[in-house]
Amino acid sequence: MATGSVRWLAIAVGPASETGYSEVVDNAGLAGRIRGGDREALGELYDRHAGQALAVAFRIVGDRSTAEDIVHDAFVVVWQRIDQFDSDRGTLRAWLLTIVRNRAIDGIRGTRPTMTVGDADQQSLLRTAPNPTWEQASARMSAIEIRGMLETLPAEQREAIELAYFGGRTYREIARITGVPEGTASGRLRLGLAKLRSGLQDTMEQDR
Amino acid sequence: MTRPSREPMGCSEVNGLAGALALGAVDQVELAEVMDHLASCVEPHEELRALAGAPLALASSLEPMTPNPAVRARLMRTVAQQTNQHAGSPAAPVDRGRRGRGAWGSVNVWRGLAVAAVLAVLAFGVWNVSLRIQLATRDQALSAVAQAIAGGYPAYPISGPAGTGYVIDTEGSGSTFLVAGLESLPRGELYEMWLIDADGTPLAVGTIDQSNADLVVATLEQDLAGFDVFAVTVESEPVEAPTTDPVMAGPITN
Repeated sequence: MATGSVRWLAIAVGPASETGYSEVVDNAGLAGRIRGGDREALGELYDRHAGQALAVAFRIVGDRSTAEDIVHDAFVVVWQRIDQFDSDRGTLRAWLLTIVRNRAIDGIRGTRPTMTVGDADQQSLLRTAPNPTWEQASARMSAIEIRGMLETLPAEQREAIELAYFGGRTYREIARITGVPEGTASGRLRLGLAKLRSGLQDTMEQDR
Repeated sequence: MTRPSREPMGCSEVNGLAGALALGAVDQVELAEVMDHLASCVEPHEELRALAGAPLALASSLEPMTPNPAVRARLMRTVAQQTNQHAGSPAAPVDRGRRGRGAWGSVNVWRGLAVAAVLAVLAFGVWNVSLRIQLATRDQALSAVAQAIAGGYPAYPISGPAGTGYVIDTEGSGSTFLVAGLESLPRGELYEMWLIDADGTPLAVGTIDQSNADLVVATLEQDLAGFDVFAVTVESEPVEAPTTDPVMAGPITN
């Protein structure tokens, strides 16, 4: 991770104690060590994030053993493809969880891995820099707080978001599943995420 | 949201997909159209970028689970046997691609099939294999191939009775197989993709089960380096080694 990127994120998200800046710096160090072939660094990354990664995989596949295999494989991908991690587009944690989620989705669809690390990066091309609101919420808010915010969304928006992220459905599939036009399905995703982002921002500002 | 597929995507359409794009809820062809648009658009598309980090927060909405220590130990054993790519020598593929000697004979047989396939492509026109292929679909595929070639990635024609396509080597980040007009299969059958090395040993690299699509884009984690031939067979289930003759094949060496 470039030092400049670390500094940029620190400026963007505020004081370290509130925002997980130390995590960002640590992740940068871990990425560098993994690039250098340091297996202990991968172990440290595992100790930090395996629990979250397992939760994501389990939520998607619904079977602990399968979820553990997915998490194992995702960390091996991190080990092998760390040179493709671009800190300018997000944190190591976000990259890892993207890999876990994509492999889990492949799992429930009964396919072998189709979403490569490159695809994950392609999606992250939509971001030109780490995204302060989401990164900050993830670092500062508890799971129950974020879930609480999700539950404030209209049910149809929440359903669309969950079908997309945890179910791996495209907006066209969501439209078919929920019996609405495709434009409505994509609109629900857009509005739901915009409301979620706004709600997370408000909550974090109130907590300051 | 449906629109004429040959019409370039505009800013309003891209913005309308902001939520779907953030969650990876668009298909690959549409994603490619969005990326094309963003590559040349001067608008900031701020909403798109603002929503793009949402998956991290969604993942964080779940309570972490207690990992199994045995998985950590297994991970450490796995990586102890490998060197990551950045650190030096080539890593073993993480994919569960399985090498197994099939009953196909030597790689020379493959080369023969591949050469025949290429000649067939040249004779009948690269993409003009079926009247069922819509122009728009063909153009999308050609555009993807052209972009890959323009980006310096080698693209190899793959063809046979089942269809005609290209495999593109995006070196270091796997490869992509595009095929237009792939023949539909009866229920209970699937296409399986293979990389074959100089010894004729096939490596299973994935399956295609959406054969009724006009354009199939299969992304593979495996780079093409070290392999001589790309092939596709029809199987009743994912198998360790091919059980049938290839329905598409082509050489992937220069």
